[in-house]
Amino acid sequence: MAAELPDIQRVEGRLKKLTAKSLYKRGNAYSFDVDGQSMWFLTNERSWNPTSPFLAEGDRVELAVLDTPLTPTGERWVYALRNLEDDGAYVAHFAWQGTSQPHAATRIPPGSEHRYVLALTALLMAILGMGACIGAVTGTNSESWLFLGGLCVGAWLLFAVPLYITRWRWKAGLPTRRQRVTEAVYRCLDLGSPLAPNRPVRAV
Amino acid sequence: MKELIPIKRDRRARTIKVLEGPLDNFRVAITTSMDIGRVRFALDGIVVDARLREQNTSPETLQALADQRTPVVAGVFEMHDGTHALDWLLPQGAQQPVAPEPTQVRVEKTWRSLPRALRLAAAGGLIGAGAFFLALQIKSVWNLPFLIVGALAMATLIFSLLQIAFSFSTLWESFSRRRTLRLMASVMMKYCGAQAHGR
Repeated sequence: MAAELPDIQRVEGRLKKLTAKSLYKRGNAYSFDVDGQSMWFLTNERSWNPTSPFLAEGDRVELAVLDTPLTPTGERWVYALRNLEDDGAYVAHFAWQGTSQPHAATRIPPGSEHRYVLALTALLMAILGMGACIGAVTGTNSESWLFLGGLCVGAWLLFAVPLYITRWRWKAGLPTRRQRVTEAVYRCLDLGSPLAPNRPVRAV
Repeated sequence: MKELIPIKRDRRARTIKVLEGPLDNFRVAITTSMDIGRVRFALDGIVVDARLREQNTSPETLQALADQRTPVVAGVFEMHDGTHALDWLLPQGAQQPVAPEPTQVRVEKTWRSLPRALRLAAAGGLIGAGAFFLALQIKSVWNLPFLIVGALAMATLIFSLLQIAFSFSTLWESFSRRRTLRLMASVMMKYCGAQAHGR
């Protein structure tokens, strides 16, 4: 086993001083006070698809919080939030993209890997199609076409194979560190297992 | 629940429900300025979401209704994912319902805004292309202003192309969902009477 899991604490209380801030490309950040502790909840919300968490001032919530403050001012990092007013559960995944700290959870939500692989496939197909059109117009030889094709296939394999292997290992009972952190977060809020949650959970 | 009408073949909604009762557990979401006016309340035991920007009202109007516990009649769509979205809401004793713009009016507005966006796109494209062409032709420091003008024109072009794309998505939305929207309008007419503006 690797090093110990981060200390995840369950906090219950009411949301006070709730504010939402746009992080532009990286989504939205919610900051609030619960039990006199200030916390950050980072989400990924696209402006054309408003599926951001529904949080109102004074809501009763249960939080899974990283116990060690990350900022010098003592703000805590929220892994997951369960709103007891309408029983919506939100787990932060996208905030971990671009971090490799030991307390990070999975970057791609469980159960949505096919969506990511399909999106990547569509993107690479579009690039290949554009390359084919440009090649047909300018009349380049087939070597550069082969190079572009090889590049795209390599990128696809580099992304899809590790993702599917780690997910397959998770289902087989061999989770990675990030996956064990995610399991601890789900266990903390009684949401069941990440692979089969016992209530609708929204990845944000 | 007063009425439940199943909808066949709609991309978003599964059923139309007409609910009545006071607004319970009224909450206003804290959001960024992008989608301000998100509220959620329980009506008749069903959690209903509303984006009040579509209805052209403020959360305070509904907050007052919730505080006074005024009974309301509301038409909601049940979406395919199980959530409920508010379409119109008639407080007891009120003449006009809180409702989004009639589809007809929205479509007409969109058609009227299209020529202007097209003209802007054409002007932006032509000026941008001309400026870039001249900037490439002139071999001196004076091509910098042309590059700046070209970049501004291209920004205008992209802006108006986005506007055109959104206009077409609105038109397509109201065309492809016309049966559902017409059904909801007739339900609203039934409950709000003839004085409500028709859709």
